[in-house]
Formats: sequence, C-alpha cells, structure tokens
Amino acid sequence: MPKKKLTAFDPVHFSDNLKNLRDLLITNIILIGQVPSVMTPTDENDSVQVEIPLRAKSFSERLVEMGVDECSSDSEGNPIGIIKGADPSLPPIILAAHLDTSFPVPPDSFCTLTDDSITGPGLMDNSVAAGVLLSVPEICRRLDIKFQSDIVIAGFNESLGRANLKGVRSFLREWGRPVRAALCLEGGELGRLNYFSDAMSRLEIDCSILDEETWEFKHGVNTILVLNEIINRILEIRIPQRPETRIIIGTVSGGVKFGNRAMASRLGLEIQSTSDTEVERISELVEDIVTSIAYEQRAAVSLDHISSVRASNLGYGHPLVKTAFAVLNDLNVEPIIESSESELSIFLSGGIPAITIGLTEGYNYHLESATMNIKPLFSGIAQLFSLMKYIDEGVCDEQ
Amino acid sequence: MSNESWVERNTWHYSQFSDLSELVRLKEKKGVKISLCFPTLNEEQTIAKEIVIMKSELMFRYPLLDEIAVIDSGSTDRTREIAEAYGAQVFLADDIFPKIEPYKGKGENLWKALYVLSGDIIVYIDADIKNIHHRFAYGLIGPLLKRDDVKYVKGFYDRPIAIDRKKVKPSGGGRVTELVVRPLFSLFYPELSQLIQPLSGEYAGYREILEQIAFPIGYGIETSMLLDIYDKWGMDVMGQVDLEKRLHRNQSTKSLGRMSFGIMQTFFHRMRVEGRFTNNTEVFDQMIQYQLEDNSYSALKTQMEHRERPPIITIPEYCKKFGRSSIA
Repeated sequence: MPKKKLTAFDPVHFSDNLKNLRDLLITNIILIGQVPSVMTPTDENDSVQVEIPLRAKSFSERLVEMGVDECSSDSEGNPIGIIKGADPSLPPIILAAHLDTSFPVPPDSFCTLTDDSITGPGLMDNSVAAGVLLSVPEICRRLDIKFQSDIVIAGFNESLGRANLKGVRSFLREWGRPVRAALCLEGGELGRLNYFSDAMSRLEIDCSILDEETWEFKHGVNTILVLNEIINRILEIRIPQRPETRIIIGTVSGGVKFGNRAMASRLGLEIQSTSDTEVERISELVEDIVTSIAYEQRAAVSLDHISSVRASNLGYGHPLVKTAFAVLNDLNVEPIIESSESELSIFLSGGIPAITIGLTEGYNYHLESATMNIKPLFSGIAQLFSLMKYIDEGVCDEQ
Repeated sequence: MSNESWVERNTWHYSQFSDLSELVRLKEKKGVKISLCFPTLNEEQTIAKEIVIMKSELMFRYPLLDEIAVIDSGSTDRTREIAEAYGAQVFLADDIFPKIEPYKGKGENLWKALYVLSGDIIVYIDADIKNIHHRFAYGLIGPLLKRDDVKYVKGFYDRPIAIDRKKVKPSGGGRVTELVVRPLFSLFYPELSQLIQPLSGEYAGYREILEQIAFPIGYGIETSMLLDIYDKWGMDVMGQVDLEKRLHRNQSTKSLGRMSFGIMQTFFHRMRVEGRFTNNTEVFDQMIQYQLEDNSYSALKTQMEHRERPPIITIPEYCKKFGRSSIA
C-alpha cells in the first residue's frame, strides 16, 4: 500500500463523477477511432514538412480543441500537448499512448455505438487510450483537478511492428529533460499493470526459390518445407528455465495454390527473455540456422531483425508499482501482471519510472470488430487520475 | 453588390466556422434558439453516436444547440430506444398532428419537426452518417449566424470546383445529382446548378423560411426546398458549406432509380405550379423497373404518388403554438 492517502481524492467517488462526462469520452474515442490509417502531408505553415499519419494530425487538432495550454509536434510528427502545472520547477508527468493501431483502420471504417459498448477496428489497441488522452484536459477542467507538475500528453505515431517504437524513442531523444514519471495507456484490459519489460528481439525470415528456378513446375524446392525445417531446428535450441526465456513462432505465410509448391514464404518469430544476453545468444543461433539451411536446401533465405528492446524492470518494490496495486485494490479491480515490450521498455531504459495500465474491458482486440465496454472505462480513468495525483504528490520522488 | 459570383460569395468551408465560442457569442447576440433534427427509419447502427457527439460538443462543451430531436418514421429496430437512452427527444412522426392523416417519408418527418422543435434555426442531418462529426452541424449553423442575409445553408462533401487557378476538381455530386438534378437545373433553373450537392441531406435554415414552404413527403424534399426558396427569396438567401468527407450507406441502382423518379415528379409538379409545364401534359405515378426472375423478365412497379405537406404556417395548431398569423 502507498505510505499515505491522497489529499482530497477518492478514486471511487471520482469514477462516479466521470459518468457525467460519458458523452465526452465516447465522442473522443469515436472521433479518433474513425480516423483511417493513412499518411498525409503536414500543413504548409508547419515547421517540418513531412508525411505524417492522419491520426496524428487529427489527434493534434483535437488536443487544441480540447484546450491544452501548449500543443506542438516533434520532428517525427508525434503530437504533444501540455497542461501547465502550478509549479514550473517540477519535472512533468508524461501520459503516453501509441496512435498506430494493431488492426489498420480502413478508409471507410466507422465505429458503432450501442447502449454499453463501442465497436470498431483498432479500438482496443489503441484508439480507446488515444481518446482518453484527448479527454484529460476537459476532465481536469470539469472536475476541477489541478496538478503541480505539467502534464505532458504524448501520442506516438510509429510504435508497432517494424516501427520498433520509433515514436517514443524519438520523443525521449528530443525531450532531453527530467521526467517525474510516465504512464503508458492501453485500451485493455482493465487491471493490466506492466512494470517490467522482457528483452525482446523480433525476427522475420523470408524464404524464396533461387533465381535460376523461377519456372513454377511442381517439383523442386518448396519454401514452406524450408521454413518447416527452420522451425524444427529453432525448436531444438536449448532454452534455460532461468533466466526465463521463450521463442514464440508468431506468424507464417506463404504459397499461392493448393497444387503448386510455395515459391515464397515468410516466418515471424519473437525471442523473449528476462536476460538481454539470452536474447542475443538465441538470435545468433537463429541466424546460423538460417544461413546453414539456405545452403543445405538451395533456397534464398534472409533474416531481418524487425525490432528489439532491452530488458528493464521498475521492480515490484518501487513506490509507483506499489501505488498502482493499491489503486487497483481501491477500485476493486484484480491486477493482471505481465511483461510489456512497448513504450514502457523505452521509458524504463531511459531511467524514467513508468508503468503501463489498461483502461477498460473488451474483446476481439485484434479483429475488425474490436469492442470496448463503456462502464469499466470509468474505473480505468479513475485509476489513471489517482496515479497522476500520487505522482504529483511525490510518490516517485522518494526514490 | 460585389462582382463576385454567388459561388464565391456564398460558398464556405466548415473550418471557417470552427471557432465555436464565437458562434455561441453570435447566437446569444442574435437571441436565437437552435434545434437539431435527425429524421430516422431503422438507424440503430449510427443514431447513438450522432446524438452523443452533437450533444457532447455542441451542447455540453459549447452551448450552440438548444435541443436535439429524433423524428422517427416507425423504426422496427432499436432506433428510438437507443436515441432516448442517449438523451435525444424522440418523437414518432405519426404521433405529431394526430388528427391529420399520417404519411411515411423523410419529408413528413422534417415538416413535423417544425412543429415539435422550438428553435429559430432548424438543422437537419441525416441519421445514416457513418463518420459523423460535429462539423456537420456547426458548419451549417456558422453562415446563418455570421451573415444576416443568409437564411438557408446546404452542406456538400467535396471541395469547391476550383481548388486554385491551376487545379480543378470535378463537382462532387452523387449519381442522381449528376445524372438527374444537375441536368434539370441546368435546363430550367441554371442559377441553382451552382449548388455542388443539391441532394445532400444536411441543411439548416431559419424557421421563418422553412415554415413558408411546402414539404414533399418523399424523395423530392431536397429539390423542392431549393426550388421554393429560390422562387420566393432568390439565390442570395442561400449558401453552401463544404463539410468534407461523408460516409453513408450506398444504395442500389434500383433504389436510385426510384429516388430519381420521385425527384423528377416533384420537379415537374413545381414546373406545373409555375406554369412552365402545360396542364394537359399527362404524367404517370408509377415507376417501372425490370428484373430477371426465374429466367424471365418481370416488371417491378412502384406506385409513387406526389404528396406534399403545405407550408406549415397554414396549419392552425402550428400558428397557435408559434404565435403566427396563418397565411392560409
């Protein structure tokens, strides 16, 4: 439990008050959730002339509408809003969410609102979090919540997959000033509490037939079978129980027709471990497997390191983590503890106290029909504001 | 009067009205009330978010709208229930003016909305917009508050024809606009062809205008409004606003055919009233379409009578409620 209770802040009561802001929350989630995943040029008057995601542009415009004190973009086009705190000498609290979605939002996509839920592609991962970030300034105003520290609202453009957390990396590089703490927001699941990141390396293996073999006759190298051999050899790699390590074969694709050998195939895998050294060791072994199979099977096989993060852990004993457990307890929400290889990793690697929290309950996270439940969102936001208040009152400063 | 054309003078982009505090200030200065009406028939997929977004942005954050109402044609899904749950006033069209024989159609709902809503400005927005945004309402309201001479504003969804001196974009009407309405306007009312999307379902106007025109019940409502406003007050009371992209249900060619029939029916009715169409020209009220069924062609006949409500200011109950002297 945290050492002290917050002054004049009761998360349960706050959660009830938030119900009066239901329409605002739904509005922000839908308005950002319906923005398709397309690129658009920055405005003529912007200092940086680049292509940025339309979602970032919409997020930025909406932040201004919602009345942040300052709004700008960094060189990668990450939209950043600031709510000024009372004490300019204090470092800020960062609230962050990735703006790219796990399920790309098609141009003609839209959200459907029913009595108690919202459905739409990319909603749970991560439009809900983006919508909540947008609502923070108005929640502060309507419920008269004030902070000593500045509150920095950061939307990160390129996080997922090949982007390898480019958004948050660039933000922190350019920010270059002390940060009190960072709270990373994810749509779900309410109770999610990430305070450590495993080391992770994401690899993609492409296999195709050699150039001299381009005729699609039925006999010859079948790239799916080549990948099959690679998988078998990867599964033979000895993995220690300590440090805890995993190899996850996540995606396989290839082939065109039932009756033809596959001319091209692709395998995606992730190596996760609590140890950076283990991830590096296994990555090297996978590289060796790929090289040797290319020779043995007479196929063109290439390996691409898509993304990686180093292991980091705020530690269960950190006051921010203890506080986060206590807040969930106050809200009668069961904590869900897992590692998270996300923005959190980059904040923690930069020495910034950070956790990732989930905001609501939902289902079909990574399908077009991703659905969020509205009612638990109030607890999720109460959790967020409780943590902001605790950080503002110095819970992380004691470390 | 400036030398600018009507298009240059009376065409705007919604972003010109995005200062909502300014709009609220103008509204208060003018002392007007503004009502938003959604005509519905089985819109449970979209109605909730339309209400929530308008309520949140234009009532809660900026008090621009005074009321939001759903006028329903008798939905068999949960449209009315959901709309009520999200805080709209919900009316079943048949319950308004119970002594008058009810008709089914969007025009009926819009006409009856004039009686149940209290605003001096009425904003009509279709309830099937998938990518709803509050700009659809404030974009239409803006010119009515900022320009004293503008009394009726129509939405459109493509940028104006000329983007700049070099780039020209084709006008952005739908199929029925480009194949039916624009040719008819060009032939008989060329000034009205300056409207980029005469059939858009999003428009707003002052009550003093809307109460004095007839409302066809069916597909002809948008065309008829433009013809009547043009006839009574001229082009200069009208304006149009680019509301940018709008997503909505796509309709089949058969449906669009029936829509075209209804529009032409209204159009020729107006021509007859104006004496530009001879009284002895016979027109029929059945749309005939053919379909292939069991290897044979069969006629699909849809009876579509031209029905319209008179200017609501001719209805005594209305005049009593709003303190008007009937022009009947």
